[in-house]
Amino acid sequence: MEKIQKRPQSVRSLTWKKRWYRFSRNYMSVIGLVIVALVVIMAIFAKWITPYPEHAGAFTDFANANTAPSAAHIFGTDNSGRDIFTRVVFAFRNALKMAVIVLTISVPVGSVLGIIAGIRQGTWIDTVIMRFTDIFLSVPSMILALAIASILKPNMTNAMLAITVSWWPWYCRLTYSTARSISRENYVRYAELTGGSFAHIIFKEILPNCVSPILTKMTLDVGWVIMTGASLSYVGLGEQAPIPALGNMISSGIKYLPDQWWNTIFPALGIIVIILGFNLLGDGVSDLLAVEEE
Amino acid sequence: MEKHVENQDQDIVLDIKNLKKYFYMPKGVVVHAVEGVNLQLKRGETLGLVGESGSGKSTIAYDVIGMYKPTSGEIIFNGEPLHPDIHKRPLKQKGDMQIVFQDPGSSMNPRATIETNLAFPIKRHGGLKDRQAIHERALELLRFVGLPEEYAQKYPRSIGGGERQLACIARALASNPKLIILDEPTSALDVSIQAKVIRQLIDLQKELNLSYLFITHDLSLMRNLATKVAILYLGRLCEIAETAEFYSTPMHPYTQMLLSSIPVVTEEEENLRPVKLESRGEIPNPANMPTGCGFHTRCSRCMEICKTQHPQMKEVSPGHFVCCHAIEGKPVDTEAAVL
Amino acid sequence: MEKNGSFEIKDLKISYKVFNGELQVVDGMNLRLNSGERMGLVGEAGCGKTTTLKSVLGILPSNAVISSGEVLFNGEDVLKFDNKKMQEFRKKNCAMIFQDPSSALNPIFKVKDLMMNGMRNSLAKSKDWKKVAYEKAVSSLRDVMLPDPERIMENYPFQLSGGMRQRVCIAMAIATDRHLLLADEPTTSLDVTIQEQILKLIYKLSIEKKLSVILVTHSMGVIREMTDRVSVMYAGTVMEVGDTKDVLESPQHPYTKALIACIPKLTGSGVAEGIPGRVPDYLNPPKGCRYVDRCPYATAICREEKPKLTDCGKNHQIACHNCGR
Repeated sequence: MEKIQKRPQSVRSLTWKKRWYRFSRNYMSVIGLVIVALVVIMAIFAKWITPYPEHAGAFTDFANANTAPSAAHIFGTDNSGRDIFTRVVFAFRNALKMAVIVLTISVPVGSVLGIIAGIRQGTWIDTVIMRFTDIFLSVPSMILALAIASILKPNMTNAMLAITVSWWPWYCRLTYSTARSISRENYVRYAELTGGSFAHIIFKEILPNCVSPILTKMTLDVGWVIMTGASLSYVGLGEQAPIPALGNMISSGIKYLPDQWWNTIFPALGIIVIILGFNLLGDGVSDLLAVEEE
Repeated sequence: MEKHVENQDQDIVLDIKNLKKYFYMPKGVVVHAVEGVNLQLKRGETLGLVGESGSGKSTIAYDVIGMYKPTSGEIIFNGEPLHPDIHKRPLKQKGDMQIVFQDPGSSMNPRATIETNLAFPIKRHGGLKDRQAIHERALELLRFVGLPEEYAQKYPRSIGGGERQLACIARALASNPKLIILDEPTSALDVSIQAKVIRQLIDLQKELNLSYLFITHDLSLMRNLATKVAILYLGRLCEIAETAEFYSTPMHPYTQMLLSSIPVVTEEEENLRPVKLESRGEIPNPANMPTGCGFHTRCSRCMEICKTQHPQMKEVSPGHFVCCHAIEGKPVDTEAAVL
Repeated sequence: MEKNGSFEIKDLKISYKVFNGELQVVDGMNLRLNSGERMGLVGEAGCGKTTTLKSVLGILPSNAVISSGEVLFNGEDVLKFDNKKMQEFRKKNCAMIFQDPSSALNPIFKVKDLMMNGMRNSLAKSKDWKKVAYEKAVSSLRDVMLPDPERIMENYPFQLSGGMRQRVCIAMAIATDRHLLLADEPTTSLDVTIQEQILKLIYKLSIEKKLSVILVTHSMGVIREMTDRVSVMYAGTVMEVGDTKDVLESPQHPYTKALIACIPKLTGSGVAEGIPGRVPDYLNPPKGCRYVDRCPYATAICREEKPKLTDCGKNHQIACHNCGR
């Protein structure tokens, strides 16, 4: 054909700049991004940024037990004399670790099952997968976790197992509806008509176009997985003492309310900050990924 | 004699025999989308399927390509019968027949570059595994349709609608097809871009001896593109003839109504139009078809027999067939005839 | 306001804010519409015709910026209307019909609710405004040739066909006496035979109700059937304007000529090559005439200076430096 106007930058970097522009117009998402970035950095570099890394574990110093927040211990100390700030940071680390592992397993499994059910809509495959999903969705995650914990030992691994098992159905539902509508698009029909294999259609045609809702939900879910994990450890089903977890720190600190409030309040604030950050970020993630007409 | 018949058979790329497609909806409602259609397409030619909504033109195309399973009837492609179920068709058949859709926006995977979109049929039907070879072939296809080589790295969303359609045509050519089904490929495009795309299609047809099944509602376009034109109304063929004959002597009342309704741009064209038949009435719902001839509710020449009995296909002149009670002609056995 | 509904757009410039600049879509648009006249606004996708219409009714998206120009209705600049005046303008003077009647009608309301809601505020707040509104609605439906209007009033939009829905939209537009009707591709999504009926209807109504109509379309054929005058738009400016017969039979502007040549004709004259080049980049539009990269007659001055609309025949103007080539 004819000359086209050449753009100075490459196509890729222009697209990302545009996406950042859209994303940054929403202040709340940017705040979310900042909070998440801080939390993640704190979690990764926990050993180096905390003043008393050895307090994250079995450590006792009863002389300093239950001291109020001060210059030496900005969040105060707990009943065993351990620095709460350090423990909260390590608890962040454990919480994020749990969220990453849970989502890494449940998201791909749930998504692929949902896509398979979506493109084979109306057939027995659809019915089997979705009814199976419905069974899991009808049991509240706490009850499921309690059931699993009562069979197995209560520890972090089993808590993660319990949460994973109760989390994948949501992704199945999500991709089911997305895959149903995408499978009617012309390019998917074309792939079927030209002899595309089942695997090709799932992984090359449909999955890349489901990425946006999946990633949005994943981002929002980090906060909720952590919340569920904290609830489990609060009732004693997750990490056991002395491993620092947001839930068990709150539960062990309850009996010291209201005088030694710092035992409970700071871990609780920690949960709030994490969930807030991921929620705000999650709202804007779709802006970062959306495919838009140029 | 036998050899002659053989040649004639080979000449017919697509032979649709008594195709019927019904959609069974809930509450016992049956939509008769296609009701006994017979068509032939010869190699290297363009057959225009024209109709408004509910005519069944797209349904016929989707039956041929395998998106829908025909309720009954036979489709012979390149001498071989087409299995109604797309999954049971051999790969070669799928490659020999390609489709270009109407909407350029959703025809290509938006998350893949044009080259990736082209690579899929290249790999599937060309047997090429080497990345470099696939890349070369993709560039070759883009050159075929007149798109610059840089487009291979672009995403579909960053090029215009007409260029996207050209890329879809390039994709259709990847498997060296014998037949391309074009479902209103330019209806969503501007006139100047439509001209480019149609020009390209015409050039490609000459170069590669392609056969086109072209579905549209644009009669002016068909005048300049099709070898034969077939008009459909509510799932049945009304009239079919070679292009020149069709436009000079349209016989079916619906054809005349259509030709009278299309907006034209010049005085010349205005004078070419048949007797101005006022368009009246609405297109009936295919789920609730009128008895007898589907067009009788709007037809100015409606007789008593039209309300109860469906008309038979008649030959009014060689190659010109009309399905109407009010027209005189020699009745034909549609299954045996070459339409 | 008096029945003299004179309408004029003067040098309108609209741009859209995007992340890397501004898309200067409408670039000095001029239009004059006499009372009772049917004016066609024809152009290809992206040339700014819908943007222009939307600016008249004040329904542009939030990232649109009207940098200059006036839209004068009866001498008043519509662009400077505040909310209250704009509401009045929409109720009393100007109505719009859109391309897709299915999305223009709220599917959860019956036709009678849709029509009466639109009239609620414009009728006097009398006790029996419902009865008056109902009568008016039925009579509008009759005006648009819908059979059995009382039954249609009780229907939901999904129970009607595309053509009938568009008729309902037109009925809503003419229910109260208005002077100006803006039609944005009203028949593009309809079948050809129905399209003809709707266009004839709009024509008939515009004469009966003394409406001025601006019909936006990309089809020259529709222009020929429906309008008295036509403005041909390209990339945000009017390139040619004149009586429809004149413009179609002897187009003067290179773009109009090329456009008409591209239209497939019933005479079987073949398919044109199309127009070389692409629509200019609205982010960095050319300084001079926007058609310069695609025009076979372009000269040096075309690159430097934007041509203004100048006379080149009776009631016929073009924006071209090489007028009459």
